[in-house]
Amino acid sequence: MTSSEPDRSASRRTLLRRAAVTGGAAVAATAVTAANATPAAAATGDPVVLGGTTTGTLHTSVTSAAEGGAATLALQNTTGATLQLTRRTPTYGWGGGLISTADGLGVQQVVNSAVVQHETLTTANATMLVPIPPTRVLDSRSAAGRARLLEGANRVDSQGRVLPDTLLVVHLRDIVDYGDGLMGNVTVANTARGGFATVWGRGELPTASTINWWGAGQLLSNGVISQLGAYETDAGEYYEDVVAIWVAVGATAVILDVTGLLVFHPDSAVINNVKAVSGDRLAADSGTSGVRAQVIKEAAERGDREVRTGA
Amino acid sequence: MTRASQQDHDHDPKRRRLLRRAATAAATTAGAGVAAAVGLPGTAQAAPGDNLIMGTTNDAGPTTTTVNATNGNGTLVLGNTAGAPLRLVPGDSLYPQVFDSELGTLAVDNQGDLFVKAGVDNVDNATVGWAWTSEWATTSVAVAPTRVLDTRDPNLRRAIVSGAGDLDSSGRLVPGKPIVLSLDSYVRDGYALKGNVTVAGMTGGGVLTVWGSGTKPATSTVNWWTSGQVLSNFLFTELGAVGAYRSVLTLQATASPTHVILDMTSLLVGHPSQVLVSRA
Repeated sequence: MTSSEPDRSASRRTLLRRAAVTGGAAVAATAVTAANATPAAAATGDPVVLGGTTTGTLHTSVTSAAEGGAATLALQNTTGATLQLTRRTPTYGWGGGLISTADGLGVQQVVNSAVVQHETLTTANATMLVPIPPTRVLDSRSAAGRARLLEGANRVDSQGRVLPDTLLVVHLRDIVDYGDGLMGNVTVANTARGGFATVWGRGELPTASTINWWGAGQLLSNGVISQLGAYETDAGEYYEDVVAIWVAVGATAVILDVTGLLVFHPDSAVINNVKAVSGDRLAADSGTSGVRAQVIKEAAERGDREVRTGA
Repeated sequence: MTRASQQDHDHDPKRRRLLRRAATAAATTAGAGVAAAVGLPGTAQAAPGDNLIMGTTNDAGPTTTTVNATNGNGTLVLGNTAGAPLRLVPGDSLYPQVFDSELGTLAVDNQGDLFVKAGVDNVDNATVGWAWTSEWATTSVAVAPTRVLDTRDPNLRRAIVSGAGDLDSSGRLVPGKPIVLSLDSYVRDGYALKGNVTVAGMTGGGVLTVWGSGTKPATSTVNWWTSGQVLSNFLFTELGAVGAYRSVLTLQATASPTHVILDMTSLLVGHPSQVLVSRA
């Protein structure tokens, strides 16, 4: 969004007239809910009424030279939110403007005499990458390496190779809570003949391949980035974070190592988390972190998260 | 003895976060203290229906003060020649009631995060989230492809801060002998690296594992099955800390010696200013 350069003189014209700003001064106001607002209207030039509604045709400016980094305006609320920006698409923009948007919070700045608005990234509209210690979540060559398999464990031959046309579903419990994706490394070993495998996390099996090989006895790796999905077993147990691997053609041992997670908040990465701020896993926290974690989990569950294996 | 050989693995995850928090606190403590005092001057108390008085505390009780404008450059313009123009005093009991607030609600919680209520003009479709901050968010910064290691070339082994003496006579990694690379000249307290790792000159089948620091994980980064191959793989791995080095990688070969080439293309950091090299 662009508009013309802000008119600084307009700001000066509309300074509050009834009170001089003194050094070291700041204003603190307390508010609770919009539903309780007293409908006391005022016109431009009138004082701002506490607990009332003041409507003017121009903006209201408050300036100060508050020392020591103190704020010009401090808002406090002992039981709720401190500030609400009315949701309305602005016609104009101004440097420093904060705008409530459908996705969150817009921040405006002046660039080459035009106002540009950028969207703030939040835990509701963006995901971030969090590294984790390299972690092996699947190795079809051993029983321990197959411990995370929800599907496909009975489709492994005596050499630890996954049979052709087999679907594997691997859960990531205790590694991530409601993650959006993973990064890592997929390896095929002891291949029987040429073939390929596909790694994916959500929805139907895609027309894509993650790793390809062309002969017997090969040992090859490839980097992988995949969505994470959810899966419910035949026994009714629900796993909120899984990744699927389809071995299309050619039996092969399959190994999957995870080195990073895409999450809405670092608290979702629960394995030796570099970035966790709550100090506890997302699912078991309490207090401020707990309610925040619940919101993040609910947001992650929106939409179709299921990985479908019936294709 | 190199600094890397101290191997304290202090380490980094929690320590980095504490260091960052400490730095933030040091930078703001003075201002915050004054702001708290000034924020509640206590020189005059106002009640609902009274006029808002500048430079004093105005208590509206259980009511909301609403300011509307039909024109002008913003409903409320705040300026400060010496400090922050707006302060949202962190609330101790925001949740869960703030989840029911109107669209456009902002609040700072007691963990220092900015709560944002958003949506498309309908509370039923509202979303709540917290604005990313460099306290806990990460960002990937692409950099010009940079060869940080090529064991075939002595000049490109200079980033090795531990284990250089364990390379064989041609510079290859020896199975079971890790080397540690410092990336401190590229990034300050980086979280992770993306790039491409290549193996060459192996004498038989083997495995290369790349990780940050500490105990070698039971994982692999590149695998090969015979001698004479040249293979590459994409790499994403966390960075570790060893001794005074704050952004290190550890590499170890298994079963076969091999040359290793590591090209860096991106760094994962809390803020782009941590990247010390030119960006792509």
